Amino acid sequence: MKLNLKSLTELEQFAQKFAHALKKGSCVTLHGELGTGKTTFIALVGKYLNVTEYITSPTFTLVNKYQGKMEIYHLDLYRINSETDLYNMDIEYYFRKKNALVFVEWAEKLESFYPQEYLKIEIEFGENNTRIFQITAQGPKYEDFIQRLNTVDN
Amino acid sequence: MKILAIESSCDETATAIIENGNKVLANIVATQIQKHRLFGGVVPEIASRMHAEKINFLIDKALEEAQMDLKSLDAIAVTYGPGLEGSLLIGVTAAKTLAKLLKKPLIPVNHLHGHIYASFLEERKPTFPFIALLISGGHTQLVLVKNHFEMEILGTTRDDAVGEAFDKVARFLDLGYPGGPVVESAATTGNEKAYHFPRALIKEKLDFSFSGLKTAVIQKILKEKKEHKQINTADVCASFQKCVIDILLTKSLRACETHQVHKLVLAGGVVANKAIRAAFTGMTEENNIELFIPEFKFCTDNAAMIGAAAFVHYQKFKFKKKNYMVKVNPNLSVLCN
Repeated sequence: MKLNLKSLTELEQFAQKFAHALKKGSCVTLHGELGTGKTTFIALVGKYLNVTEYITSPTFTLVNKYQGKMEIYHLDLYRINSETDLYNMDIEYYFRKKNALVFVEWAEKLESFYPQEYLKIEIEFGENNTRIFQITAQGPKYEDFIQRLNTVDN
Repeated sequence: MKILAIESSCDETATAIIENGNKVLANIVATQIQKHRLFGGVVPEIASRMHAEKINFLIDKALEEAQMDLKSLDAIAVTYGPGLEGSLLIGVTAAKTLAKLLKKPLIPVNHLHGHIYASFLEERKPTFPFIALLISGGHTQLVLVKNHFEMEILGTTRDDAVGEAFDKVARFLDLGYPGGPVVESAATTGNEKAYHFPRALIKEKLDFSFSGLKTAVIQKILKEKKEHKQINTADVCASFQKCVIDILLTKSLRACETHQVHKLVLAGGVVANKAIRAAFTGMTEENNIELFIPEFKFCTDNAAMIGAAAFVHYQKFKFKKKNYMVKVNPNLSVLCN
C-alpha cells in the first residue's frame, strides 16, 4: 500500500491505526534517507502501544528497549558497516523474540540477516514537506497485516 | 589517595591516575578517530577490538607518566555505563582483574557523572546546588545536582542528542567525522543569519528536540540542490550551530531561573565546541550566573574525570568490603550511582 502523509497529524493518525493492527512477534523494517521520519514514526506507534517514556534515537546506543502493551525493541543500524558487526551484536537474537515487537531502522544493512518474514516500510520526501510511505508485506503473515490495516481504514 | 581510572565506554580508550580527586598525575587518551574516519562513524565491533588492543599499553603508560608502580595504587575506578556493551566490558574486565590481583577496592563510575565531575578537576570548583548541562553524542540533559551524587533530571531530549545532530548534518554535507569539530570549523567563516532553522520546543519548559532541526537542514540542502543553487556549506553550518546555541542557552537559563540556582556546569564532549563555550560565557555574565567549564581535554571522553568522580564516590559511600561484582550497564541513567 502507498500513502501520502501531508502533516504530522496525518502521520499520527496513521501511526495509531498501525499500532492497533500490530501483533506480538512482528518485525517492521524502515528504510529512508536521514530526516524522513523513521524514528518519529516509531515514537508515535510506541505512544499508541502505551509506551510512556520518550522513544529517542538509538543511533548511538544501537538498541533501545521499551515496555508498553508489549516488549518493544528499537534497533538502528545507521552506524553498522558490515555483516561482521551484525553478527557481533547478535542481531538474530531480536528476531527470535516471539512476544516482542521489533523495529529496525536502516534495515537495508541487514543483507543476509533479514528475518524470514517482515513488514517493509519505505519512506520518501514528497512535495511540500509531505512523506510518501510505501508499505510491502514480505511473507503471508504480513499480507494479513496489510489487510487488517485496510479494514481499519474503512 | 591514588586512583587508577579506566574509561572505555565508546570511542576512546583512556586511563588516568588521580591523586585525592583533583591532582592529575597522568591522563592518557588513545584517540581512535583515525580508524573510525575510514568508516564515517563509530563501529562498535571495531571500537571494542581497539579497546582490547590498547588497554594494557595505556595502563602501563599512565603508571610510567605518574612515575609509580601498580602496588602504590590505592584503588581502581572504571566506567560501567552507559555506553556500548562490548566496549564497556573491556574496561570493566581489566579493572576487575587488576583490583582483585592487587586486593584494592574497585570503584564503578557512571560515565555521565564523570562528565559532571570534570569541573571538579579545576582549581575553582562548583559548589552545591548547581545545574549541569550535559551535551554529548548520546546525551542531552539538564540535571539539578543537589549534592554529591544526588541528582534530578530537569529536562532531556525527546529524540536526538546534540552531538548526533552535529554528526548527521556533517555526514549529509560530506564534511567527514567526527561531526562536531568539522561543523564548528566550517561555521567560523559562515554567516549565521543566512538560514533560519526552527528552534523546536523553545517555548516549552526544559525538554529538547533536535530531530526537527536535523531534518530542516537536510530539507534546505535538498531544496537548494533541486533549484540548482550553490550550497554555501559554511553558511549552513554557522546557521545550524547558531540555532543549537540559542536552544541550549534558552533552556539552561530557564533551568537556572526556575530553580533559583545561579551556578551552571557544562559537561560532555559537545562542550569542546568553542562557539558554544563563548556563547555560554556571555550569557552567564549577563545574567549573573557562575559558569564552570572543564578544560578542553576534560570535555571529550577521558579517564581523569572518572578518577575525579571515583574519589568523591569512595569518600561518600565508603566501601565496606571489596566488591568485585561490577556489571556493565549500557542504559545507565544519570540518577544511578
